[in-house]
Amino acid sequence: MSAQAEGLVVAPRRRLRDNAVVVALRGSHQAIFGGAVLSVVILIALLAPWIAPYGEHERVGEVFEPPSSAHWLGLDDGGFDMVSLMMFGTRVSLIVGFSAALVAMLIGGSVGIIAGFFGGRTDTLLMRITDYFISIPDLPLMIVVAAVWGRSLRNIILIIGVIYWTSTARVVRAQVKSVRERGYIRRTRVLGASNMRLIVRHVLPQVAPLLVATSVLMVAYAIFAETAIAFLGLGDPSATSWGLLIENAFARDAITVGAWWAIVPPGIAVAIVVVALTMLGTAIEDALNPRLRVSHVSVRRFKLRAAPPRPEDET
Amino acid sequence: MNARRLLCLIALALAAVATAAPASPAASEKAVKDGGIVRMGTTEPFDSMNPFVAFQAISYEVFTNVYPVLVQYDTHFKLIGDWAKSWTTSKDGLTWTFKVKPGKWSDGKPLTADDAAWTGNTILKFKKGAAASLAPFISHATKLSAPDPTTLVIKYDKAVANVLPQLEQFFILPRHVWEPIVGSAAKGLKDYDPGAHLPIVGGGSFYVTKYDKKGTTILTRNPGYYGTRPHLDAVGISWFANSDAMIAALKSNDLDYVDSVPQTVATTLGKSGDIQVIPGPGIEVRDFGFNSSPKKKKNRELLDPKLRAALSHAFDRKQMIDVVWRGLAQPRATLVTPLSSPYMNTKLQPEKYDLALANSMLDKLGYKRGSDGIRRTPGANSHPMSYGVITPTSVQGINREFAIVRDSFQKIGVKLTQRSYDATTAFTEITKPNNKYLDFDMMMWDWLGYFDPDYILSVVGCDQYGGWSDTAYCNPAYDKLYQQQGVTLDPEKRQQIVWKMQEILYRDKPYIQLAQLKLVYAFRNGWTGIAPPILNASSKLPWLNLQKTS
Amino acid sequence: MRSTEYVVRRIAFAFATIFVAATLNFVIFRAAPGDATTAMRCLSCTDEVRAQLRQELGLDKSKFQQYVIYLKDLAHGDLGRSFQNRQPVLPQLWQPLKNTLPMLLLGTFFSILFGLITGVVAAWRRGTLPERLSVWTGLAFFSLPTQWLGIMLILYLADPLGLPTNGISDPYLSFSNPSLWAEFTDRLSHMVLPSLTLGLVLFGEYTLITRSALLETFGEDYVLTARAKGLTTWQVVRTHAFRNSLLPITTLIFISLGFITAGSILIEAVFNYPGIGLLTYQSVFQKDYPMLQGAFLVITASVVIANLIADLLYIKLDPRIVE
Repeated sequence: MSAQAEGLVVAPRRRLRDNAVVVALRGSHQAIFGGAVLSVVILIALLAPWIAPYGEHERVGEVFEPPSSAHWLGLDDGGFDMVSLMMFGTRVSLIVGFSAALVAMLIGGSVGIIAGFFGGRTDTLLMRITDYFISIPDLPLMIVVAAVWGRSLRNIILIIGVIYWTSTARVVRAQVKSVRERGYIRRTRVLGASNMRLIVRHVLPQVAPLLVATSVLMVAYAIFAETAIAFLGLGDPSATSWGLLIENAFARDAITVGAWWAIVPPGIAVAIVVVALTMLGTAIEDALNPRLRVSHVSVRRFKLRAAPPRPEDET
Repeated sequence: MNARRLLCLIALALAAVATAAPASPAASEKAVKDGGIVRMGTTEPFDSMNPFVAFQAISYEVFTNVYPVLVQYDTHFKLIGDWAKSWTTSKDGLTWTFKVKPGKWSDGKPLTADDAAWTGNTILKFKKGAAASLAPFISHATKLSAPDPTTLVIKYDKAVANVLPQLEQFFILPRHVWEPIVGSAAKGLKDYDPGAHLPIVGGGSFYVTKYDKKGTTILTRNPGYYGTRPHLDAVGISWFANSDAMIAALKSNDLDYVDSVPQTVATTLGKSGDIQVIPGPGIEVRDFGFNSSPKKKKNRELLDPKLRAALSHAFDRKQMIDVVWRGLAQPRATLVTPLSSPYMNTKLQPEKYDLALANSMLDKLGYKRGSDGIRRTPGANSHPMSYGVITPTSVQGINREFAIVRDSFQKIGVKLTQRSYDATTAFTEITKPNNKYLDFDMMMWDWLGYFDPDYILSVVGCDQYGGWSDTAYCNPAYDKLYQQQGVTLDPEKRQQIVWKMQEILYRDKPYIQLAQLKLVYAFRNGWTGIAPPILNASSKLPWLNLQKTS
Repeated sequence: MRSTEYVVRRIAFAFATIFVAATLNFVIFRAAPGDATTAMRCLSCTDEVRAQLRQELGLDKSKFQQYVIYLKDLAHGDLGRSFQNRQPVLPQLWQPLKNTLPMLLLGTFFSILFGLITGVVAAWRRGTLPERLSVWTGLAFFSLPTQWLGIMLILYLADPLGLPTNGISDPYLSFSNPSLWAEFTDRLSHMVLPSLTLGLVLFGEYTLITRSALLETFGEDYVLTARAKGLTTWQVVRTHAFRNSLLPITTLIFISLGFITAGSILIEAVFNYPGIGLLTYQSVFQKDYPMLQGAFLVITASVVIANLIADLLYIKLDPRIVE
């Protein structure tokens, strides 16, 4: 094997533009669609206070007023303009999504790296804990924790993050394990590098792209989980999110009144963002390593974390 | 399917009437007819059919109708006789003698005053134990006796003013059924599940023949009832987890009657023409409360009645009534409502919504605005006027209520943050630590009183720390008046005391009362003798008078 | 690793997980401030009554004592008595569970059905728009908030199809002395919309599985051989593609069944369907600990057992994995 392949000689840095992953992404319809939608949503979130036709707390008419030329999506159960609420809703939904994904990534990533890198008893212990977490039903757990901690945005973010970290952990662990066995790591260790250095300088860069991909998917599921939490009446009532919009309408009998405009838009918005993020995330995953069998089945919502331990994971 | 179902129901009803005992009155006149079943929908959850265990309102509704009670409320909310046809009081007010009507339990056994005496004495015997939840209805009673089958004598240790309102919920149980269950030590009394031993023997206008707390509970007419025969053969109560489903069932003729229609739906529901929507009197009063514990740690400026008076002008009741309750509520200034008239102090008016006034009052008190627009407390240790408001999720529409208050307060330079919890957690946050109420600043909740004002006046007593108190208000002068009204038998004198109590509360403002909600209910066309559902748990009259017309 | 050793370890792990979950759920629920007696407000809810209630329900003991009692009872199969009506918890769990399971099964059936159809379309029309649409619809439905999808079905499908939107059966049906068939159709009609919601949410994965199984089959050499022998494409698909997809679909079903029990809360809340999910949700706010612990235990146990079966099936169907 050449010295270069063993990583002892550091290859010159290539431009990001020519990076294989980015090239693959540029050609992927999914990635483009996903990225575009995400950009638009982020833009709306940032500019909401300026581009929203009415204020977030500005009462402009009657409860459940139907759509009109002044209010394209009508009014909600408080007399607020739905179009404006939808725009302001992007902020909370995205904040929750990204923050919860960050929490999940931090916890899951750390657990995965530690378990994968050190192996042995640490690995077994951490994986057992992960497996227990997986088996506990999510929604009941979220309900109870929300009841204990109270309904605030910070708590919602923490709850989602704490429940979602397991899938990241498993995926990262598998990746770290394969990286650890690579020649240059072993050699670097022989040369006396500390574990910390190894992790930060060599393992992390290998794992980072995967973390990014998983995180993107995580944002999608976090946004999704937030709507579920809000629907069960556990969301932060002062934070206008799309989930809260659905819940407010439902709780104040929008169905019976026939106020579809208060219910339909938030649901569609959530779907669009989740689809976009999912496409982007899977596109990144596929671009990283077409052979990487990250079972998409494993990161599904109802199974909020990875599938139960499979025999081939136990080595 | 509907026609067929209706036919079958009528067939069943006829069968029920045929197998039921005697004494049918004259044949129905005009278009009204006797018989049939009313299919009622509710979102109130059942808990138990055991009176020693149950606390939920709908369970009490059933008890009110299946058990004899001495007195009940009429449609003007005045007490009249139910099982008792007359009563006298001794001069010292310590002995009450009731003459009761003869009747039969649903299993045919005779209903006599002895059943009442036994029930009362059993409750008294175990009032510190298994019967504790029924003791408040004969509080201060010492002994019951039945000198003859139609006379009941109750002895009290104090001349109490609200004997009759209390007795209105004194359910008389069939001795022959419950005595073996109670045994000598009332062990396992609470574990007994009448719902599993159907039919539940009752002596009122109906008795329970089917019980399903997640589905439909059926009450069938008691042939031995001591009062006027009900027009209906049966009452069916179907429980729904949410009101949308219940209203949908009403619309599709799967229900005849819904005891509570959400305000947002009330206006559109009647449009179809085959449903009448009636905004009836309600007993729920929404309130905003200040932590009034003299020992509270932070934000002690909120204890100042002058500050409270200033803040009281920032409550936009009109908008709340419009947005949250769609016009189906009335502004209120006190805990006591017109349903308890003449005890509501009508001289007290809800504080005027006037932001300019509030602002100027706050300015005068020295609360200057900071650079961020939030006012700061004067003097040393100045801190911004930023407070948390605890709200329970169990109260419908509380989030909208709070949002309106928050927006108004923002305009007078006070920042409010919502602290939303479920009811239990909310109450714990209010009372912490350890029922000392040292922590919270403000809260929003509601009260559901009774027709007699005694209960609602008691919730702010000094002895209610950790009990009912959610403001930690404690005023010995107020408590003294409360004790006094409790033993004032002259209604006029009692009214004066009760009015004074309300004045004290209005001055001290532990609460800012917001509005009294109407209880909107709906019936499909084809019914007469309708009474507002607020009476369902306080009177047999609603289900007695109800009659089909088509 | 030998097969039997693995099986034993898996089963042991399953039991351990259930135990951990039981402990965890005990701890978390009681960490919530207050208890069932805290926020009671009514004329009879006096201090004495509440104190007495607390004592009767065992809430005055220390948390550790309560935990020990809980474990002891659990070992005897006693799940305690509900705080609401004082009746044993276990019998009160059966009915909701019996309500949820058929709905889940029907929902899984729908999702497999839709998945098969879209998967076949996707594989057949490889590389064209219908393929992409088939795959994307699965993703789209999956991304719609479950409760929102349920609400949409209520708003727009219920009336046209004449389907009920609430509960599990018609409460007054028993009055008309219905035949067994009438009762059956009544139950079924109440199950359709909730199951349909579930089916729409989950079919996407079955699409992907069916599609890849078919594609794999199409690409194999033995297909050419088989066709040369005179078998039609359909016969080839039937034998080989099905066998390829049997494993993933079966494991998926079990994994889904396990987790759906928990996810059914959203659907049951929308349709007011009295299943185990709705029971869990309601018990939380009533602070009915025994009921809540019981429901939670049931859900966790079904998740764990379902996964266990899925794993064991995995080994049976593909022994290569263990070696």
